[in-house]
Amino acid sequence: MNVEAFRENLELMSYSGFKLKELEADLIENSLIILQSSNKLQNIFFFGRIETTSEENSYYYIAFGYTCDIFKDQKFFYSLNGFEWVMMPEMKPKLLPITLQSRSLLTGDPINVEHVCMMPTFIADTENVFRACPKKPKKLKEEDRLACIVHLLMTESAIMPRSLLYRQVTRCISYNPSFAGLNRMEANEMKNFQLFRYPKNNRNYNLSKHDDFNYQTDFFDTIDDLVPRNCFSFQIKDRDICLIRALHWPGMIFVHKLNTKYQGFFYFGNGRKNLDLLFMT
Amino acid sequence: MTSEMSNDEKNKGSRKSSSINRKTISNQNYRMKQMTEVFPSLKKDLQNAKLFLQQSSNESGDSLYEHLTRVITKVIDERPSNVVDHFELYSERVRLEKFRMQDMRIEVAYKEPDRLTSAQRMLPIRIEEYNQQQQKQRQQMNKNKNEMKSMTSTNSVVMDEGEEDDEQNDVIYYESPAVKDLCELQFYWNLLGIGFPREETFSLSCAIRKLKTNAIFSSTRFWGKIFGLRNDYYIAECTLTEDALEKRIDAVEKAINIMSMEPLNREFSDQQRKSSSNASMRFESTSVVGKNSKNEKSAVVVATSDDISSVSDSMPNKREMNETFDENERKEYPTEWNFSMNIPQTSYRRPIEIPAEKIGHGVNRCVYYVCTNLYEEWIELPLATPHQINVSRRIKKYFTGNLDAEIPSHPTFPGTERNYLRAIIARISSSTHVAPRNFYEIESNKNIIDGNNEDGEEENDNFDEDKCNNDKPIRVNASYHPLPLDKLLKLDHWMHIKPEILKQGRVCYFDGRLLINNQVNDNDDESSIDDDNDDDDENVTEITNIEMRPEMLVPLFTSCSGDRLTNDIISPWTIRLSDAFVESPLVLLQSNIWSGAFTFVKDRICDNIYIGFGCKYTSLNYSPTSFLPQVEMEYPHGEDVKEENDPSVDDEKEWERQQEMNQNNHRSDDDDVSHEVEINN
Repeated sequence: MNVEAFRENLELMSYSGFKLKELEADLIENSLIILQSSNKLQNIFFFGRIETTSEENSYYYIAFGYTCDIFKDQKFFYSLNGFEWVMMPEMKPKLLPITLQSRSLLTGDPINVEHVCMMPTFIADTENVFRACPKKPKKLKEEDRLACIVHLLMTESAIMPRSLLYRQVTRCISYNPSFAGLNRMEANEMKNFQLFRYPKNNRNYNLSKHDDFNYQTDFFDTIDDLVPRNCFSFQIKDRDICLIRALHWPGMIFVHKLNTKYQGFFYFGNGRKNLDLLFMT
Repeated sequence: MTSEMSNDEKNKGSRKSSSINRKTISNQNYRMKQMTEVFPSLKKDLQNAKLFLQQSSNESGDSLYEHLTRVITKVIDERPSNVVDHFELYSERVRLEKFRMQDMRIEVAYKEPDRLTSAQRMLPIRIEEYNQQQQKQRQQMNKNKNEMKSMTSTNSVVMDEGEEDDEQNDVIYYESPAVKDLCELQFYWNLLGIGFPREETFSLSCAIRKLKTNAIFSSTRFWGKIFGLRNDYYIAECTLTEDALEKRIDAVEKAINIMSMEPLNREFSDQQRKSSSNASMRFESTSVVGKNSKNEKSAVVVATSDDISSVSDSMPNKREMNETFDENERKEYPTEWNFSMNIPQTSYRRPIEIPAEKIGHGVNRCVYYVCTNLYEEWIELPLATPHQINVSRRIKKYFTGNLDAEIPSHPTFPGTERNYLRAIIARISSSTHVAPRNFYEIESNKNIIDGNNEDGEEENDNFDEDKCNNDKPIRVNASYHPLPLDKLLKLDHWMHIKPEILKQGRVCYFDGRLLINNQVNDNDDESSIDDDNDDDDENVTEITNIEMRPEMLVPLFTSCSGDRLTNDIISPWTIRLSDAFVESPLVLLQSNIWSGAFTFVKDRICDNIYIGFGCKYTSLNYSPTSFLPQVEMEYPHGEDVKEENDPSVDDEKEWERQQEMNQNNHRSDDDDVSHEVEINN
């Protein structure tokens, strides 16, 4: 959620059942504004917090910002106390499967190295008997794991309403200042919510979903294409609050106050993907 | 049609006129050039450009000139910042606005239906509350006036009376304690970063107050919120008063009796009726031990069977038709078979169905109410049965938000979502409801409820004591001293306040052997044809001795430091502190097993809440196959099942040779056997 409208977004956030404590919120808001100016970021977002099992460093707070293009120039930061922000290491694609295999919760120590048991490979003998070859447990540094988790969260479950972002003539993707919110009819359709990432699908396919498509805003992937179908739960609350929970990443929540520009996604969870989703709905 | 035609003509006309204009302009230019030699004239160029911009397009009939003027006037009127950066979007919006209907009556009259219905429901409830408040205020005002009058009339007032009045006033000012409690607790939860937005807290406190006004509850508290796919469940935990409990138990027993009669009635034929009534009479005479419920049941069965016979005599119904059909079927089989052959009996026995605990006991100590919208009525959840709890342990599901939704799962869940919700609530509250040591104490006066809980408690005394300790009502300890902070930060000083649910799915251990004996007795009653029951009895007791060992009961108020997960590495609890600006910081205990379960403590205030999906944390992913037996364990190795090497070609040849030899021998043997048979006959 954008730090520009931090307090309004905090109010929206409380519809999920969780809030930031007063002191926590103040620390985060002010430190992020300072971080924005020191890093010359155009916009800065509070992404959420990931729980740890330690009692001193109870959460990893995560923020991200961009300089020009909202997807190409993203920078991620994390913090253990809410005001000292550290640049997140770059995500290593090799570590993504190891992160998904990891069973434990985060410990709260960024340099802690964890040994992850990998799934065994199965090899057929000459007599067609399958034998399991256990793999060596792989090392995974917690900082790298954090980067992988955040990357997965951003690509799989972060969402935005339609026409929040647009592509300028210079091919640079940025905020649409004339975004005025979805109305209630639009909020009932899944195709009006887009994934907050650089589109992976065919552009024409994405455009063809809308009758009144707009080349600048509708080329993003929409959430009705994600592979576990129905992996988002939609709710429209009493006071025109649209609440969307990601079921494959429990804790990832998107809130949008209809007919206003206030919207945002945030994550309050333990950093584990729910791979059991297919059994659960 | 005519209008379109006219439009087309107009367009054509305008185009013609523009081309004519151009021609005239060019002619003029030529003349100008000849007359005055000032060729690069700004005026002419501007005129040319303007004429080009004013050309209307074939498709929309709009011209760029008009559009630009409209955009520029809009920009100058509204003065948005950095228009250049998103000029194309701005001009698009202007275009869209042009084509929108001028007089949008439909949009004005149309309200979104959901919003409207919720407003229509919400408003009368709020008005009612408003009126109540007004009434109370008026009463208060009147009282004050009366007091004033009395004060003025009798100037000499004793001091004591005055104090009493003050106290009364104090009491009246606050409404009911529940509302104050909920708001107060929500305030503390907000300090800890948990809780709902302001308007939701308000409507929640109103809804809880509505429950509180019901006289059958001795205490009501907000239990938590469980997220569903479509709707969220708000859950309230209530304890019934003793009178209400007794009424409920009576009603349930009556219902059970009626239920148990119905299946029996269908099977009754005339002969069976007589036999069963005889059997039940026998049963009454034999079982003298205190089994009140049993006796009642059988008595009722006798009574109803008579009733049914009278009814069926008077009016012929389907049952009789069925009976005749049954008789026909029976006639098809030769009756002699019964004597000549032993019918093989299955060794399969239906697993014993463990009965649910009564309302007010064990898992069902509290009653839970649920609602999805805070302005709707609260719905009571049914009692949790051990079977439901056990199946809910094996499955992992998201709630849909519809109480009547079915639950598609591999071990079939017995019941709908309301039963599943109840089972999950029982499991969550038994494992995550904790309090600081000595915060609660066992209510020692109420031994009455526990006394006649289950049948046959006399079997072993130690066991009985454990059970009594396990399932007892608790209350807040009046002499509790708030523990210091350093102690609260250790798990040793926290204790469970809800009894642990056994593997059986109950809080009190239920001895299955008793039930089996009863079942056998029942079988005796129903079908008095079999005479082999005595042997069966022995078998059954043997089996049960092996299968059902009484589980270890964990006494109430055990320390949280002993909690452990069997397969997981993580610690089940995390302790956190609130921000330090409150004088004595709040201590928050967070469960890692049921993520979303919290407990906080501040001086003498302690509360539990659950906000989450209702899914237990498992480090391994869910897999439904793990409940099937492993492939290699399915057929245990023994004499019947042996693994041997495949025979080689030589072995086979040898075997064939042996077969030939044997066949030759057998022929002679068969002859012998036939001889013997003849002799025997």
